Amino acid sequence: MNARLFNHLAMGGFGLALGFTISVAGLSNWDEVHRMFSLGLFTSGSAGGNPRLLLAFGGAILLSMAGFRLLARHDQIPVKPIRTGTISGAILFGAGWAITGACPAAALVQLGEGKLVALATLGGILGGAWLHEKARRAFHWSRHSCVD
Amino acid sequence: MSGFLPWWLAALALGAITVGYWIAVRRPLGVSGVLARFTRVREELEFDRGVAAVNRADPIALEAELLALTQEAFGTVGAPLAGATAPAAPEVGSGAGVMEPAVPAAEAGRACAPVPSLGAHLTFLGMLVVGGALAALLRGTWGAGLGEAFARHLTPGPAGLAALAGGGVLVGFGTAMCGGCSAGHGLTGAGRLMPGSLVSTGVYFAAAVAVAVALGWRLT
Repeated sequence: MNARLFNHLAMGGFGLALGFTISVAGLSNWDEVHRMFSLGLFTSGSAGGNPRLLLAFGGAILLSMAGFRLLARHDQIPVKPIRTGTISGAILFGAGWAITGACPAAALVQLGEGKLVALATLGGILGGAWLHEKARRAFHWSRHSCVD
Repeated sequence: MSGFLPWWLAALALGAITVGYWIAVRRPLGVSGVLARFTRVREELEFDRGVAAVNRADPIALEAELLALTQEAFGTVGAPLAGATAPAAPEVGSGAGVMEPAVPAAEAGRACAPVPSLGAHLTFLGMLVVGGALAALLRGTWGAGLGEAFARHLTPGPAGLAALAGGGVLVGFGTAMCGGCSAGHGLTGAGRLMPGSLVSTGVYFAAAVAVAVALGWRLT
């Protein structure tokens, strides 16, 4: 099959699956995301300190570890070392995720769910990435990679 | 708005998508970096043309040409450019001059594919939107708010939109700075035990917990 067509089909298929899963898992629901991050401190009732999403995200990482170890142990995948912006960037991302209740993928999923306010989040994310590129050039920060 | 997937089913689906994506597409799954490409479209289209040209080229001719250009720029082995500082002499017995392959041939697994085109990445992002739409339509929740507590704390209006946009800037800037998001660093990078990803994931999760606790927004 044509490699370009294959990329569109495969990436489209995985995009669809990921978007659907994020939605039905509750990762695009602000309340559910806050329930995960606030560790049940500000909740009441039966849905209180429900660790569902915490287990889902943590479990997904553990399954990914097992999957890569079993199926892709010797594969040549680009490395991700600790770099200058790793910690400060992660702090900013975590703060933004807590406020918006959306990681980059979830913002797109929210848009599909008909939650038009996600346009504000999405605009912010694109603006933030654009701003980082300007800052990176101005202060001569190194680039992590072309695409992560 | 209740009735989400049980945690183990969500974990299973996300884990399968992460590993399956690598095996099928031969690229590590990531979203923030893909999204960021669309903030510099002209530059990325030029990058795509370069990738396409390399893919089309005959590998042997390409290597010969690269070697010729490298030698033109840096000189050939054993004939350093005049005036250039000599590299530190290798220690005796270190096998100087012997090139070791990065990965032993017998163990070499799948190789990473070139960066997909901007068009393929647009398909990927577009289908994330479609996936969300499909799920919401099937569950009958299309168009509902971000959440019940969200509506209470960030009422629809300029203040709520400003909070989302400002938070979005933090997400966009932060993910570009640390080089990944919950997909690229969390699912894929941490799943592969990459140091940068493990640190990022721990730090952004801790930061999110700290901010959520500091905000203290009451949930039901």
